[in-house]
Amino acid sequence: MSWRSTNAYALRRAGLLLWRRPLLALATVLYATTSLALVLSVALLWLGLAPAFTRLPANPEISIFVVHGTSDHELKVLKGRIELIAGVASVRTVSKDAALADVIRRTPPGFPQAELKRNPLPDVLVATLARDAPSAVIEAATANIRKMTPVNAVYVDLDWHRTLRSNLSVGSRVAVVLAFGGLLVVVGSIVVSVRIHVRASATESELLELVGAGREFVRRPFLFVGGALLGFAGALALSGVWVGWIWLAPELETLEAVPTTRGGGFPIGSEVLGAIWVGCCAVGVLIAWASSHRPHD
Amino acid sequence: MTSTRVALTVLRIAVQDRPVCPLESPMTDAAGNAPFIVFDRVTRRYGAFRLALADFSMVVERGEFVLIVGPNGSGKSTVLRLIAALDSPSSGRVLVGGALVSGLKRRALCLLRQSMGVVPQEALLLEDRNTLENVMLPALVAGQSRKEADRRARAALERVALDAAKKRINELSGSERQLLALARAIVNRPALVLADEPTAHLDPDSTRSIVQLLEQFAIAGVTVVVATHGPSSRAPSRARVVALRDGRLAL
Repeated sequence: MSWRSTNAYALRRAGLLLWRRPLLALATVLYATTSLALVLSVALLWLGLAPAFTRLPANPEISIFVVHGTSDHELKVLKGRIELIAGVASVRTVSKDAALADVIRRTPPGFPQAELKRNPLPDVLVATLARDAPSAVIEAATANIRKMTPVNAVYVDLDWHRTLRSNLSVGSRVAVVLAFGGLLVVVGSIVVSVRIHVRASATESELLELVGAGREFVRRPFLFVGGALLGFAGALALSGVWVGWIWLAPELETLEAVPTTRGGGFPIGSEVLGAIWVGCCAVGVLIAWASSHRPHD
Repeated sequence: MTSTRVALTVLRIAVQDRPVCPLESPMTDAAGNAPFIVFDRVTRRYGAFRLALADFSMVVERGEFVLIVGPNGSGKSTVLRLIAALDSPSSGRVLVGGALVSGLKRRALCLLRQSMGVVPQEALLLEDRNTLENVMLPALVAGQSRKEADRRARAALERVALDAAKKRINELSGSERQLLALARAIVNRPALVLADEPTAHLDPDSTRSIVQLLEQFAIAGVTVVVATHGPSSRAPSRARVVALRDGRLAL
């Protein structure tokens, strides 16, 4: 049988299979659309919020207050020693003059600045650790720095770092679980639908085999059914997410967390949208191919 | 000029490499008397205890009408299934048109089935299509266009004298269903027709008309192998009877 007539027969059969079980088709598209929309929303939020997460001060920092009267040379030597400690990514100096200028800038008008006859603030070194530095490394670095001279005091807000990390970790795990669950429902709904069609077409499949049809010929209508169902669900899900984005865009922009591209448009280009839709059709065909086996195939 | 030569060479290679259907292959030797179907000491065992065929040998010549008779479970349907390559022997050889059926590749197997007509025991009619569409199906599978398949299906329906081109399947009587299955079996003008209990549960008149049809096919040169409970008085006189009992030739 020629390629054209094989596909014409398969398309016709696939159309009839869907037409004769409209409720099954509707339920499959509904499940797959909802789940795909969930997965796409999670992916969009992830994409949108990722730059905001990178801006968060998530790297743990250790503030090192040196004793009064420390010379610039001693400060420079201390900075070099701290940079060599395991887990320390960088060290910056905040001089007492810069700190005082900052304090003055922040004090409300009317504060008697003249009373500050002498700068009471110490020079400070701020050691920044790697973003994913474990607590043990931070604590070891802190203890190590505390023993150095001319260090007067050391301050590290480990709780903030721990809270932020655990929140990000929980958030990403929830996103992964939601996306995985959504994909599972998508695959499951297509598999169930195709299996029902395969079982309902058992007599035809047996007959086709009897009259000399190859396995590909027998299975092709089911592949078209899988591709059509997931393709339709993909188109609906993409449209739904796009409408949702338009609806939420003003709120998201005020959060300044989501970098909406070029005047607050949808963050996914039309080429990518097209590719996602084609991918949905292809995955639908693949799922149907995997689930349209008969016991003796 | 060069491109034409290349195209012709490619075409020649394609034709030469085309899988050959066993029924299209040379089936006669120089003397012209090579057997069409050969069962050579065939045994078919299902599981440890059920023996469907035991050391069964049979030769069917081209254009012959063979009745395989025997009680239920004697192995009649197994013989037909082995010829149609729907089953494979546990031991022994089945040759159709000189080709070892169990050794055929998938594509050649499809071609073999396309060039034989099978009337299964349950008729296997598709209830969601009308009579004409049921008969058209093998022609479509064999690569005919819808127009050609339609023409052949109408001719086949006419051949079996079934005046029900666009009836629904559930409107057909028992004998009409068998006639429809027979029309579907001959739509591809097969060299071999296999029929499994084609007259079961039919009244004497319907049985007579189906037997006459099968006999006419044999007279026209088609090899016909029919599995049935027992040779009745309506069996064609030219039919050779092969009796089976418990999977063995009953002498």
